[in-house]
Amino acid sequence: MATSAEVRLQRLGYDAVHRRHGDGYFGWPEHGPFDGIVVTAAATHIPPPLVEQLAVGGRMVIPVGPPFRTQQLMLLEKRADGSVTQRSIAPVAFVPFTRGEPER
Amino acid sequence: MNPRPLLGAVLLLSAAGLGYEVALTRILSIAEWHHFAYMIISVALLGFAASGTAIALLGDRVRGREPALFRSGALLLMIALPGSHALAQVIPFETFELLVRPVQYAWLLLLYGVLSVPFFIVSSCIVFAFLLQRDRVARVYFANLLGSGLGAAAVIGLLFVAPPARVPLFLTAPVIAAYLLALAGTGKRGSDPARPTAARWLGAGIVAIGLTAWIGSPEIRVSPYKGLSYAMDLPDARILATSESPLSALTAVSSSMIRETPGQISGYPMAELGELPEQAGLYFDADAVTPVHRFDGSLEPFAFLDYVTPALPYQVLDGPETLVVGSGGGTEVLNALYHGASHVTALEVDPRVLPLIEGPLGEISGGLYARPDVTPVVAEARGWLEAHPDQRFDLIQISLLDSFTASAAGVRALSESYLYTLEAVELYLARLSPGGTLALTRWLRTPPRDAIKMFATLVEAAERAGIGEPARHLAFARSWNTATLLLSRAPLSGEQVRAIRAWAEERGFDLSWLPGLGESEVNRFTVLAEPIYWEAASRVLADKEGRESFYDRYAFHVRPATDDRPYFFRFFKWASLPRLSDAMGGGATSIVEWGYLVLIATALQAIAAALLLVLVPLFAVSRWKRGRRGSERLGAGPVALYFAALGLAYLFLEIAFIQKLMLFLSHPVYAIAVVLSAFLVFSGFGSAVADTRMGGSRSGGSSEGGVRGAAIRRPGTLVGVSVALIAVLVGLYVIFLPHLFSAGSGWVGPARALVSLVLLAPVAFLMGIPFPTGLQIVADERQPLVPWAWAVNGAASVIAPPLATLSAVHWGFTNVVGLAVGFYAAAYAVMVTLFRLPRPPHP
Repeated sequence: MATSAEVRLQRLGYDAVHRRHGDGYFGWPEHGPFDGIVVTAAATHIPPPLVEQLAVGGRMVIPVGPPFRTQQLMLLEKRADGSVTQRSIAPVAFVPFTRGEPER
Repeated sequence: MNPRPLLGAVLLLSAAGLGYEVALTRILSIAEWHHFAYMIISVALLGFAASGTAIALLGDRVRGREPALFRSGALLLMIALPGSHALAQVIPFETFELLVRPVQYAWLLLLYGVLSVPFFIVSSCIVFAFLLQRDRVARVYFANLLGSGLGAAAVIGLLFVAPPARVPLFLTAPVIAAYLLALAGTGKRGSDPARPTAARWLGAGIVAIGLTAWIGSPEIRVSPYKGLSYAMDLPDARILATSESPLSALTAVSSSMIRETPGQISGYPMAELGELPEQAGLYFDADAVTPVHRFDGSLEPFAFLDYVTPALPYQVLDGPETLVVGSGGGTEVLNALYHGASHVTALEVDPRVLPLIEGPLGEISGGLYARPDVTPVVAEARGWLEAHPDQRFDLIQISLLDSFTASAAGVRALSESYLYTLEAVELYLARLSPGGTLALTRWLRTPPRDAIKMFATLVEAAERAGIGEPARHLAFARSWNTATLLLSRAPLSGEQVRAIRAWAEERGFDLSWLPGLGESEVNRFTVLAEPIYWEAASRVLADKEGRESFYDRYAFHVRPATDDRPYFFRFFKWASLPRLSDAMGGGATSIVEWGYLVLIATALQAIAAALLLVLVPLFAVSRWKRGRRGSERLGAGPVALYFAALGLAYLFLEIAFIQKLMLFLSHPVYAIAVVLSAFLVFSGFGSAVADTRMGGSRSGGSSEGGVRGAAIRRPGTLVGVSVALIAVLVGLYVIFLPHLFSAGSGWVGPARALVSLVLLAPVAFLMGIPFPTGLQIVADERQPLVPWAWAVNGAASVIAPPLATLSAVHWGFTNVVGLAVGFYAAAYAVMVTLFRLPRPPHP
């Protein structure tokens, strides 16, 4: 899926997109911090590595909650002092966050 | 015809029937969720009522063929028991898809049908036995009850050693024996041409069972929406160990991707402090999970436990003597040790958890429970604390005993929990050292409810315990999905308040109550549209009037639970449904607790099906109206009223006693085992005595054609005295049981079970009398109504459990007991006023 997405994006001319196949729980620390992080599968807790890779002033949206039940779409923001605020935007239902083995 | 083999066969078939019910409860709790198990079994049990209806409709076509039909029933049951279980495993029913895929209703119906077949057969055989023994129905009833009680007890015992999926196959053994007995009892000696055929049929039945055994009972099909199914999909998932018992099925799974934390750890600096330790997941009934952490003696890797809300009490305590309630995989034990607890007592109610963690998972758990500063205890918290009045703890920690998933779906809405009642919190307070604190952690939900109810419980319990200003003793910290509430026996000192403030600020937790907390300090990290928790806490701590009006006006039921109404997890209020549904954009699933909805659905389905089963024969069998056989003295209406009232009364009392004994016997499964077996067996003896009371005054001999004139002597007196004694006894129990339970909480489990049996025996004995007495009147006066009376009673018995539970939720158990006595009184009134019986001859 990762490869086909890369090929498709290149074909369509999106050359600013970098892709990596790996466990999203750990983010992509080499490229962080990020101003925005979007997670498209529900985890039972917000992965701390992603919070760490969020830049000051950055925002993250992530659905959190138990698999197959009502989850909350959370918006996280990192303030200048490094503290994080979060608020629930809406109840949602996403597919569960399946963690894969990190790329070797 | 010899009745003894027949009665023996009834006993064995009844044992198989109840055994199947017990096994199904386990099977469905593993495959689905226990409240759905409850609903499905409840409907399947209508097979009992349906058999009465079917035989009533067949009427004369059954007459004379009862022995052959009885034998055929036993033969069919041999195939039906394993067959019904096997078929059920291939039906692709998914509870969670009910709302989105209408085809699921068809699968559900099919499941009901398939699972009800064995009950239908067992029950048909009992009715045939009634018809065969129509002059002594109480004897059949005795065999039925005794067999049911023994079957329930035997299968609960069997579940300690055998996987539930194998039980339906094992149950064919008593069925084969029943068939042989029936053959001996109902076949004519010598020249019966049916016997060689019957033997061939038996051979075929046994071959079929053998084949099933050889193919193997199918494994239980676990819903893909359950936690275990999800875990098994993880790339390197591996089952480490399993353990079956009547309490639950335990499965330990290892996968490098299992990461369970007691709440949000978003503030945890993973790059600095390291990744979370590896975990194995311990799944209960394929769902609720408790993690077992890899532990090598070093507590350093558990720094993340200071980044979850259950760390709150450790900010105000130094080296506390700690009691962890529900230690499970050991997260809270590690939490205590990480925070420097001087000693930890770890209570776990399930006796298999510790051996599993120390045994097959020992390589991972690293001897956590063998440490000198950790004392594991297998016990239920309240019983254990009652039994140890001299123990004092600096900290009693009760943290997240149910899974996040279960909490989110509200599946426990109607499970009793004696850990979160006012009486429970008072007990915890009494066991704290002078400076000790109680800490409770709950999952949070949107809209808020759990933590508010917990806070209200702490406040009210503190007041009951004589704490003058609870506001100075409480702290409340929350993350996105957990809240930890702290109640200190002494007022929180300025230093303690500062420590909590500093910790919460650093970890990004919101404080919703703390002495001196200002409105500007709340709702800063996990921002809610309104500071609801802080407002709710303030309202609950206001004067009594303000608190009551808050309870009344809040959208959820947040009034504290009590031992009489131990439903902490019930939050739903009917009155709020329209308002909340609008607020949530029409979606109701996050508002209504599944457990509550399913109970309502169960009650409605049972009532609809029961009415159908009871009413159909009334319209279909015009023969009854003409009253061709039997007298006109006994109308169908009074018969229906009498047997419906008895069914409701019996089950209301049974359920009330299960709830009452749950705390004393420390687990619902133990309470069910003891109450079910005791009720059935001792009621069986009651009906045996009713038989001698009735039999003694009768003319005896055959009753072909109905025995007019050989009426039972004073049935009204027999039933009246029984009902009066039942009322007196249960009245005494309501008053004295709590004292006895508290006195006996220190006894070992078997002693408590024995005392319960002795207590239940007299009332169960009396409860066995009214049914056979009434049925004998029906058999004498209007025999065609016998199967129908059985159907009415069976239908009422299925409607009763959900109604009893609803009554308990809304009005408390004492009232459930009161209602049961009322139903008994109604049955008695019906008998003496509406059964127009001939006056008994004066002695």
